[in-house]
Amino acid sequence: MEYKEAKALIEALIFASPNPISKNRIEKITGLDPKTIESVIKSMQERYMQSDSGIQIVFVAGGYEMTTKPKFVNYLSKLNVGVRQTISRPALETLAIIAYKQPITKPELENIRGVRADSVLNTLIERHLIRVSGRKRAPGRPALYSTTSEFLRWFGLSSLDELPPLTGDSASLFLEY
Amino acid sequence: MIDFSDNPQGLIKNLESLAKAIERGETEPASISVHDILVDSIHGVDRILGEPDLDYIGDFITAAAAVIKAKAHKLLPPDEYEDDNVENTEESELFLSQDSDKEWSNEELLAHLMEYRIFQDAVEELARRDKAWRDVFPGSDSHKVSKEIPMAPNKMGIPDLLSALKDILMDAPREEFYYVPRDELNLERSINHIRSCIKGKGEAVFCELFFHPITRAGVIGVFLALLELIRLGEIIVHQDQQFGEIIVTFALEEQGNGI
Repeated sequence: MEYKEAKALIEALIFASPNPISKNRIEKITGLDPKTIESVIKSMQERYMQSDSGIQIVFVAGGYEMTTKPKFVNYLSKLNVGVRQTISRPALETLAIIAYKQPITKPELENIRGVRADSVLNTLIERHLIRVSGRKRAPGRPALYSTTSEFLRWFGLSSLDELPPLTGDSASLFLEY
Repeated sequence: MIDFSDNPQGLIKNLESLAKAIERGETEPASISVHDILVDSIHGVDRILGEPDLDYIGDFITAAAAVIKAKAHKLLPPDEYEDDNVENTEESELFLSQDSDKEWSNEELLAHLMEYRIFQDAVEELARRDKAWRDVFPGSDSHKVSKEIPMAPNKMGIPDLLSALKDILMDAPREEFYYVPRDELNLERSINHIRSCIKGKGEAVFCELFFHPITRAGVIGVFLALLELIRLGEIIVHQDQQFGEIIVTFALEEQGNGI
């Protein structure tokens, strides 16, 4: 396959894929070698960034996805498509704890937050941001919660490794008071 | 051990002291028979009060419960929820209530607050990312697809299956069906019918024996009954003139004139 054709094919795959498409999947579908795929995607990302296009290719949740550029948000929101619901502060707190401590049980989570988490957990499960990933080997076999690929996508993370390390800087500041 | 003096409050104070002594480890809990102490105490209460006093009984129950709790606390294994930090989803309420009752030391409280505070940095980061990615719209229908709630297997009920079956049947070529009535040949009923027809007038015309409305099964049934009655010798059939009616009569009345 010629480079030009490979470029067009990969572009079509990223466009048509309902979820972020990984390099491995592109490789399996096209039969192209990983280096070519990487090179093609990189050049496409640059082209989209430099051109007057309103589209960009981003690496999120372990795959590539086409999105609109943020500067058009005011216009695109009038289309009333794909508008995200807001995530409340308690939900963000819960997500943050699960993201860093996963897999984690509800009581462990509640112990850190100091309040009940039933309602927040249900909401986050409904939005597919977290899931029950197993059961703890403990009396009662409590459910263990983990984040999902939708969580990565929601926050534009390529993987959990992209989350900043918990430095405790603000905790140190807290201690100074 | 317990002073059962005539002072009602003294009894309660003694129970409270005993509970404290157990808690402090001044008394060997295994050597204390809660049952004996409480039975003696109840007798003491009866003797002192004579008539029940609800306020006093309430205080007494509280003091007695304190003794039981203190002994249980010393003798039973430590609470697994406190030691192992093992949680049970169903018992989280218990866990939280215990937790809220727990007295935190300053170090524990500080460590807990620090841990909570550390996560606030993560919350800020997620909030920043949430805001940034809110301005971005993914291509195709990806968001819609991902938002679809997958259907649990047990959500597929019989009505759904029937609906799916109906769709398939609609596409299948239609076959023509014919109604085939079930033959009901009741010989006994037909025999009784013939007998009653003859009994009325002493004879019956053959063609009037058949039930109305006339059906194929009915005709066959009556005819078979007629043959059976002839075979048994109960009836005879005869014709008085050429092309005349066939007459059916009982055999006894027409002896010698049968077929």
